[in-house]
Amino acid sequence: MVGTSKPAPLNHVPRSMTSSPLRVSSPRHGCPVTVVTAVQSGAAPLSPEVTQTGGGAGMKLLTHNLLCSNVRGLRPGGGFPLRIQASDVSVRPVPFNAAFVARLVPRLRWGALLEAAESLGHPSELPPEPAPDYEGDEAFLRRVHHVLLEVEVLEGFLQCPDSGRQFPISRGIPNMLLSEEEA
Amino acid sequence: MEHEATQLEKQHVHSVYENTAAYFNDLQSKAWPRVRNFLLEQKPGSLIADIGCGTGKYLSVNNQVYNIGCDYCGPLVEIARKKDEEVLVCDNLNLPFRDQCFNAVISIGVIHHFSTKQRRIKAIKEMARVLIPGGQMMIYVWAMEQKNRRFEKQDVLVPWNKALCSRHFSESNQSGDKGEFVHAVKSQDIHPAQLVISDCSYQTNLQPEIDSKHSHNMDHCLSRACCMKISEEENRFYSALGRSFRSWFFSTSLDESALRKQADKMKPPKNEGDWANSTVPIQHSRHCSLDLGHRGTLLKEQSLDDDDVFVESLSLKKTQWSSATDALRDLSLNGGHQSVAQSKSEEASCINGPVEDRDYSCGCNKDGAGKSNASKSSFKRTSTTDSTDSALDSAVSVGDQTDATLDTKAFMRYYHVFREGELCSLVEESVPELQILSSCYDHGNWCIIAEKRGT
Repeated sequence: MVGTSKPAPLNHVPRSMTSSPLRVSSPRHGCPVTVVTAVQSGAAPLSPEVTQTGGGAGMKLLTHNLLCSNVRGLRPGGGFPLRIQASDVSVRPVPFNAAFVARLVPRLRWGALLEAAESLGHPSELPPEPAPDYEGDEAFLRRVHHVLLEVEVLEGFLQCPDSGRQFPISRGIPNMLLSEEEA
Repeated sequence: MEHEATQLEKQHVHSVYENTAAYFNDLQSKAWPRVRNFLLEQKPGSLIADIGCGTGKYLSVNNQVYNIGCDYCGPLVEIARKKDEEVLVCDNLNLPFRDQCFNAVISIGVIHHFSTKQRRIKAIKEMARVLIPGGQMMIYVWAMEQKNRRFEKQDVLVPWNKALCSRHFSESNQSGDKGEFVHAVKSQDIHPAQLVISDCSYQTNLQPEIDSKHSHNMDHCLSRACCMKISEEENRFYSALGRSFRSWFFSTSLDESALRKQADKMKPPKNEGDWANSTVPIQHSRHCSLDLGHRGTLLKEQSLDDDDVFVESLSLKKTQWSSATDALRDLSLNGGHQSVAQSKSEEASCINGPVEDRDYSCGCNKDGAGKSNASKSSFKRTSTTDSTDSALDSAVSVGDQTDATLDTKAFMRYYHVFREGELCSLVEESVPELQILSSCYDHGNWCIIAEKRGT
């Protein structure tokens, strides 16, 4: 759980932000790291915990919401959601499209999304369930947009909740291949 | 059977793609128009999966939807990732997605790489599983029936020719014995064996470009019956290919083997090479519908047009095509005949892919017979793993006893090409959760669109 009660500033990423990703290095096992500084061109100096690099793209939480473990012999539903253990997380602005996000909302496993965002140190400030009138709630949609599309896992593991099997994420690419024995 | 299947695919699909991934970048930017249209028709906000996405050329077609690409081949996925596509590495037979999460799924040039009917069915079923009811799937597979000709058999090993795939030669991805091959190509003195043009590269890497930036072209092209306008550059490329030698090798089908209950003739593979030895007799033939007994030097003193755009990076000169590719092997499984059909390069043509507006004649028919040289070449009975010569060194000529190079063999891709109706039957009989909406033949491919049943 994130210790701070203050919302992480990066929940409201300005559209004009440069495209270089903001890297948050967190220790393995997803211990959250508090992000303290919003970064804009010419803004205040970064906090030491935040590094800015030119890293590539990583796995988005929207993708994570669709992923499940394919290990053989799991209990029904036992492969979802995968627990994210991230050692390198990046935040990158993506143009906001309210209609697009609104259409995605009903497709999501909501609890898994909240859990994933928390585990990456990006508490989503999202309610336990989408409100009935979510489609018109831009602030809500922007928060959904942020966690779904702007937070990326570059390095780490996805762990099957049932079997414990870890699938690596390297250079932003999850590798979900099983060995011949596991499949 | 399952082990043999995975071994075959490992050797003649996965490792080929892994080793040739670096060369795909350039030419993988072109997309089949029908596939593009399918993607563009999806509703904004849709979730779409490209299973077997390669370098991800379809992932950026429609930016109103969320595209996820996945492929077995890590190096290809890396290329896609660098283009900022959302991708992952996984197995079509065991997709890491929850049930019913995608609005649409595409599988373009993928299923034909599975070496048994069961695996092809499983691949389709997995894709159906992750589709929402009412969601649609588009599948493209190579057709046995190509324009003017057809593959002689359904299970084929097709050589891949790097020299004609890429304009950029990269060493960085090569390792081990493949390094030799790279250096050979870089020398600009292309060995004839390397100029063997592969169907697969031709199809997957060279597709007519519909450049969305040039909307007038797009409109024009969409109004044509063939729905593709091929640029001048591509025309030259196609004609170059058309004048080049084609060859492919046939394997026996794993399905066939099972049906014939010839398991006793198949030694349990100690390693990949053994499998190839014992169960993949290779028959070389120039054309699908073969005549017997036509032998001769292939493409002697034929040169490709110097002004072919594609030649610029290759420095193709007049080359003496060798009959390395004459190398014939018995069909040891059924003690079958050897057949060679050779004729001059004019008759050679691309058997595959988007070459609709060139009329290539089949050189191995009766007409071709008269034009080919009468010289005989000896048939060579060899195994697939004999040669250790590098592509450059083994200048195989008529009558030469050496094999086609190991490198050429190493880069052969396995395809099960589909007969007309086969894909439909497969789905109708074995994937009841899908309902076929349409099917068509598109430039050497059978294409279907199917919908997941349910409300």
